[in-house]
Amino acid sequence: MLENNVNKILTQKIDRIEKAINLGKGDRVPFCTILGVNAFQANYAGYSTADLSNDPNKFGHSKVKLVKDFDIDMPFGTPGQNNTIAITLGEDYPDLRPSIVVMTGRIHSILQDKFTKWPGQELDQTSVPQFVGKKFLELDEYDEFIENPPKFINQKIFPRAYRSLENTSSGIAYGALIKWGKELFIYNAAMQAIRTELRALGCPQIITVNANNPYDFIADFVRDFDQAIIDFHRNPEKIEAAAEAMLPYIMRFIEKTTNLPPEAKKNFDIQNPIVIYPLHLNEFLNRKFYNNYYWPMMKKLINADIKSGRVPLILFEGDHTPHLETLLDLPDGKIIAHFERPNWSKVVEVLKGRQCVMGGIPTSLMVTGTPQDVEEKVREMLELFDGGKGFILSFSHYSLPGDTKVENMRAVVNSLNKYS
Amino acid sequence: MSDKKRLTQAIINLNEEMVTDIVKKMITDNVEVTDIIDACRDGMTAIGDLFEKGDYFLSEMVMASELLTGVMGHLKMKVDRGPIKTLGTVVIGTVEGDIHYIGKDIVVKVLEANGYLVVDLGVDVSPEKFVEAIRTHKPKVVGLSGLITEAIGPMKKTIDAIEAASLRDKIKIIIGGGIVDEEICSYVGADSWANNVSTGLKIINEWVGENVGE
Repeated sequence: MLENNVNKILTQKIDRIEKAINLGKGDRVPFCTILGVNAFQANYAGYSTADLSNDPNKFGHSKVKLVKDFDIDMPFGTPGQNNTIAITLGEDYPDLRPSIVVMTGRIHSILQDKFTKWPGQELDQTSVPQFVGKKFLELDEYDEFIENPPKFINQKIFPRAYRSLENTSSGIAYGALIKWGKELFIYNAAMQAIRTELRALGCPQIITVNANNPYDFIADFVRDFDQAIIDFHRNPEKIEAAAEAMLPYIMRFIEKTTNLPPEAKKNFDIQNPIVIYPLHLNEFLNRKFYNNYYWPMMKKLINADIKSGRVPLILFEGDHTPHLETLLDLPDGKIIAHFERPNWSKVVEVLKGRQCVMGGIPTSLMVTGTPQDVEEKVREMLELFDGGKGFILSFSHYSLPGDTKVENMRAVVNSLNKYS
Repeated sequence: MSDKKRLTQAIINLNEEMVTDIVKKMITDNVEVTDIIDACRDGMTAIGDLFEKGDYFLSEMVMASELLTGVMGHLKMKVDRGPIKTLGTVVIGTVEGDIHYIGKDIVVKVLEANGYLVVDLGVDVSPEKFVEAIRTHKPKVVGLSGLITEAIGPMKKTIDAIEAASLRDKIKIIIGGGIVDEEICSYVGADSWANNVSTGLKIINEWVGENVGE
């Protein structure tokens, strides 16, 4: 009886998600969250953000509680930040994919990386993990990187980025590598347990991988963000060649991570994998830089995804409105486009009926608004998309602050059930 | 065209080589530092307008800020010779728990280029540090920056602390960053908000024109 009920919920949720991606609507508009370690999730489950950062099982428990209490259909998010600089390690050891690119509080304390900061370590117990980035490649080293990215990363960036690997032939370094591996094992086991628990609630399991536009990879992990922007002005040919050099490694990582053997694929409920691309440079780049460099690279990734049956879920950070029309280059109904703070009427004008759109609730409203405000916002968003066709409801920003009101979270689901 | 006008135009065009050449020439010609800064300010104002029109993007603001750093470097020796008259002091920082700096740093450069004395408290700044800095530097304007959604709470906490220290009515407070909007501004108790540098500058200029804090 219970199993029948779970299967019913599961079928319903799969239908919601698949129909939304295909520009239609199931019984209800899907509710999606992309949450890493965030203060609301921690508080709500009775933990600190440091707990969630350091213990993937506690993260799992808090995530399952949120999904259950707020009827979330697509709960993405891992307990931490990105360690994407390690992406090429999957070349020699394929079984390290995909978790090799995950940074948790514990992995941070082992590797002592310079590009993230963590609650309970550099930050207060109740803060959230943050990506700061740092410059790990000087301008005159670009050519060396371009010639062989994995070699440069292994030999130059790792010792610069991870304090524990500063001296790669030291006991500290060897020990750190062993501990890193051990931690990944614990992490993978915890993620597996979360998937099983979520599945038991009727929450569909989707093959998911996080990936970057190579320009974002260079900006975040290689050159530092503002230096990368200055490179677009002063040395566009260098940053372009570096991004081109990284592209095959990123594509291979996506392909190998999502192309599972049939016996593993059986554990997933939606067969088209989702590739989550958080874009960082998009809002910053002018039309020339975006159209001539960044977007063509993005299109290569998207087209490869479409060809292999994957669905790119693109997180357009900031205000993406000026670049919206470039999305018309893509075939209809092939991506999910999440927007943080766009001009929504422009989004509707350009994308309604062309691509599945995601977002809609300003995260700040969860703190500053009342349940009535939230209800009004949900109603307004569904109306914009003809009752919610080709639409997935989500928050504007991925991290829910600690001051988020529980009654506002309830209002999201209640309004979704009421109006869609 | 005068060197001053050429410098303004070179900044607008983000022509780094030309900016450097003209500034060096102006220094050699013993042009007043204030005139060089004025030319930069005019350039930044025009860049701000191009940004508002959607012709320029943040990539141009970052590059302009890089150019200004270069100009200030050339001027440093001259500036050290004597005080420059400022429009007023602005205390700025990224609030507690948030360690992002790119947006704040652009604002700092633009305010400096526009004649403000900026006290930059850095990132992850506690309410107590803001209060202490307001007592010490007696600014006209305080800027609270935040990129992550978790910055909303600390913005409110900081403004509450300024209020509790009886300093609130002496200053204007602006919040800035990708997350801020009208609702957050009213929730945290700030006077205004901006999510781009050009709007922020206009608001601060208006306040200072009204002689805030004097």
